[in-house]
Amino acid sequence: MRTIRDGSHIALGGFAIARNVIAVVHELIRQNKRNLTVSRASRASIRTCSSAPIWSARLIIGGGSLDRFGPVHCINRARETGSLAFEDWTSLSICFRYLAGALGLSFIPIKSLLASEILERLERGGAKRELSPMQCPFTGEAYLAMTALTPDVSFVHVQSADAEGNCRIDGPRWENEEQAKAARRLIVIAEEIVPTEAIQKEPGRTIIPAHRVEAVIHQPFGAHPTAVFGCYDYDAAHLKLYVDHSKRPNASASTSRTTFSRPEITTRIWRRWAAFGIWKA
Amino acid sequence: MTEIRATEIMVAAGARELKDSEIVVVGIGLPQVACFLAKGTHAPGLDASSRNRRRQYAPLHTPVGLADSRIFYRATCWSGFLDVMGMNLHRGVVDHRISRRA
Repeated sequence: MRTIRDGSHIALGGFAIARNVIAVVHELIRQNKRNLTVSRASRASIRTCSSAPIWSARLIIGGGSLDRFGPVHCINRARETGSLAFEDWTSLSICFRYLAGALGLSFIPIKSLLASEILERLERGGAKRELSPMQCPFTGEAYLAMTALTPDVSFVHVQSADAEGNCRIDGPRWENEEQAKAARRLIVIAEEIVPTEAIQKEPGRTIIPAHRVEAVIHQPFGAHPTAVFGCYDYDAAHLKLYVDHSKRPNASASTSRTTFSRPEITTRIWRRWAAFGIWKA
Repeated sequence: MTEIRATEIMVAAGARELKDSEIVVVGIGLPQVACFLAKGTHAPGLDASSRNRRRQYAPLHTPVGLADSRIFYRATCWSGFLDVMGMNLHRGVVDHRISRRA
């Protein structure tokens, strides 16, 4: 995490209450990073939400919440007070923009934003320079051109990877594959490190190949309290506590204390953090 | 008799719009409930993909949202935004899209 410079554009994997890169976000906060641009297709990421106003300057996001646990109060408050710059896209348009980045294209056309209120808001706001109406040179059809998204660093939490970085993602992938492959640097957080032989037995399950991965962090429970399919469920009590605390602007410090005082899981996370996993040379 | 809520009427009305074997992309909230109702009654063959990308799911327990694995139960495909919303909804090869309007 020390290599992430202030002012970087980082992309956070996962979606709503699943596979969020919680351990990474905690460490970025602990290292007091500043002026980060954060992009992802869904708004919710416990801790990201509470802390985004502190350590980031710009959010490039799609829709989302903490599902039935509630809205993302801290993000919404930052919007109301103007303490963060917002670009509110749709999940699909963010995904298209990552795809363009992953393909090495400078822009990508889309139809779905045309004639939407979201487009009007984007054009009024800070995202105007990321958009341009265009026509298909062959058919004359109307499109909207969007610039590519190329994060400086993408973080993605996966169920398993080998030490070289061949990654499996079980369950829905949302925009995580495009997001990972769009980035200049990709850091993977894995629940489990498996031998390369296991990967070779079922290569069709490899979503991200090793050559795109700069580092693999072995961090069991690194997505807690969000869920990792096949590994653990979301922690409903913790999510409720978080949403409750996030309603109050000054409660985040006490949330942190409560978070880390939970003995069973979080001390284990803390301890394993200290080791912070396998890094590729 | 218990009182009927407006949300229940909306769910029932939504479910009636869906016919068996249709392809539908479903948004979060009441549309999901409408889709489950249709699948559980007159449209067992409904091909439902949610915004969270899984096809033909048939949950047993009420999920808290689209990222809850309870909603993936009996899914026939796990994919992503590009597949469900891009290659289906954006392309226009679905019969219905039902979503919540703010």
